[in-house]
Amino acid sequence: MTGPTSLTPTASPRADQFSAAPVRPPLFPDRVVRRGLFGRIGRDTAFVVGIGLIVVIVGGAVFAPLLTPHDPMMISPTARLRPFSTDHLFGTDRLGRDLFARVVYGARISLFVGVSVAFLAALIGLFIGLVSGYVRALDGLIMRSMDALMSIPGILLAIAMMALFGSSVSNVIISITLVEIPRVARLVRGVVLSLREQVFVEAAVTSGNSSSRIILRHILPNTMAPLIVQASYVCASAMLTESILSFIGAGVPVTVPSWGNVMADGRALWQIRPSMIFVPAVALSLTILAINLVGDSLRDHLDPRLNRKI
Amino acid sequence: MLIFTLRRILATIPVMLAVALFIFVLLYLAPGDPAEMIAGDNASAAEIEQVRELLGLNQPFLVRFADWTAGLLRGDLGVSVFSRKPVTELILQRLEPTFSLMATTLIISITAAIPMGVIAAARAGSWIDRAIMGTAVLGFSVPVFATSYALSWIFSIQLNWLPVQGYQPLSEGLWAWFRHLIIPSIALGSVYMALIARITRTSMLEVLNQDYIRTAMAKGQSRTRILFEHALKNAAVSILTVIGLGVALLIGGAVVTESVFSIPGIGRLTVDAILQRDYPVIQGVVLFFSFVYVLINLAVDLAYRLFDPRIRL
Repeated sequence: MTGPTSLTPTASPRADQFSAAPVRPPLFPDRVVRRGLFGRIGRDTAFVVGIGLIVVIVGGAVFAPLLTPHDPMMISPTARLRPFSTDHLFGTDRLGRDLFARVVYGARISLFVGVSVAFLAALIGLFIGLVSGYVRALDGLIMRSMDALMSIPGILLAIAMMALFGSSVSNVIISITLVEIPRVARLVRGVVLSLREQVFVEAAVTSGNSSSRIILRHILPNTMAPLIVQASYVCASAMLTESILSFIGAGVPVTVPSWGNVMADGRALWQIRPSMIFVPAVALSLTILAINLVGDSLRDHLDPRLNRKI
Repeated sequence: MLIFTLRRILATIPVMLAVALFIFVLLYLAPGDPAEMIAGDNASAAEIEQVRELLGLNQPFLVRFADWTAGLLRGDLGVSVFSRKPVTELILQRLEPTFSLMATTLIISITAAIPMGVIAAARAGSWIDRAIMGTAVLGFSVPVFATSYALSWIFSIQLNWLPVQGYQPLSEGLWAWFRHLIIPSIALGSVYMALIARITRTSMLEVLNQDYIRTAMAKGQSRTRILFEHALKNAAVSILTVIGLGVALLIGGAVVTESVFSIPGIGRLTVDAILQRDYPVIQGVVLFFSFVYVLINLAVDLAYRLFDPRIRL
């Protein structure tokens, strides 16, 4: 960056002496340390802590077989309710399954649900929001249906969908996505509406660009920052909803070791063995905390439109 | 004011109708034949057909929706497949525990969160601000059942101060009733408190930059009076909005909290209905909670006027 700038004649002191024309200051003075987005955000403690936690948790989920020799689903009636030990780090549950293995493997399910919902809800919500914000004729209809969808409390809507579809990981993802879509769509629509009023969009319209080109080249890129921030919150909220659904028996099938299911399993004996609930609860809380920390600092750094202080 | 109120009330009708249609479609698509379920296991094909005829289940979709909506207006939510009791009756029986839990949660959360937000805003950037906002982020991140079990483990099992679970109706005495609701309300309210504290801080910070706050300071008003009277009143509209919207969290959380603490409320009814695949009950409960949510937000909209007479709709 600094190389080419200092080599240009105007920036070189020697050239100044001989040039007759008034010297313009270099566009990018090289003594000012310029930090890109990653330079600034890298100095944000919350962001660093959040990313660090996420790396550890995702790493644990990916390399689960290396972390524990135990199978999270293996029932061994002779090893029921073992206490903490070097073999069973967090002990075993009432069916003799290793709690540490279940929590480590559980990260895979919970993260998968969170990331899938964030991706799907962002994609569909983006589409709905763009259409609603740009095609004024459809706006009323779309937004009223989103309002109706949002007036059903989220978890109850997910419960109703799960009762209808039956329990499976993909149904959990579909149900929670449906809950989250209106929130993304409303955000995108708001951003599109304010972008429509901007001069650069008006300029693009007057210079005869097609609607699809305006949406794709001028509006879409500007919705990305708030969309990414929102997607991180959707991811956290989806993981919480998944755990609640599984916990009350309306989530992923009971045989799948998601964090919600591990906690649901622990309910029966929690007064004697609180670790059965607290270990997965701490894992889940830390993951969501990490995502929230990253989301908050992304919002502060990426998106001046959203309020800094909230 | 009357016209404003009426107009606002009328505006909720299409929303409620859309919610009803959506939930009706859900039940319409539900697997299993309701006629078969109601007729029982040993019913012959002719008997099932008779039930179908009787309940109008062979009618076209729109006719069924119209019938069902008409029933709704009379307060008829259908009959539970499992207990054969009217859904409305099941919900009414369990109204008290759920409303008690919601009421105590609302009161505890709001009275704790608003001063927290005000103090954080008044001391923005200080350690106390960071501490309060850090707690709020934590509140967002810990699932409601984890908070429930943690509080219950500390205060009921280790310290033995409060009952582990259960519910006492209000008729058993105020203290007995409240004692059982303390831990569930705090657990249920933790996310809600975080939400309210954050929005209070944000909107207070906005208000504190206004000229009239400087004027009040210049007049020599006390800090407390400026914060809680001049500023808070003007920040109230956005706080109220979030209080209304956050009720969705409370309703979802109540389902969990009631099953953790064995509170025999509508949340428990929901969980039991899911486990038994009792679709009419699930439908009724979702509809009931959605209407409560819409009505609470209607009340919030109307309350805006109390704080800001400029607001018109």
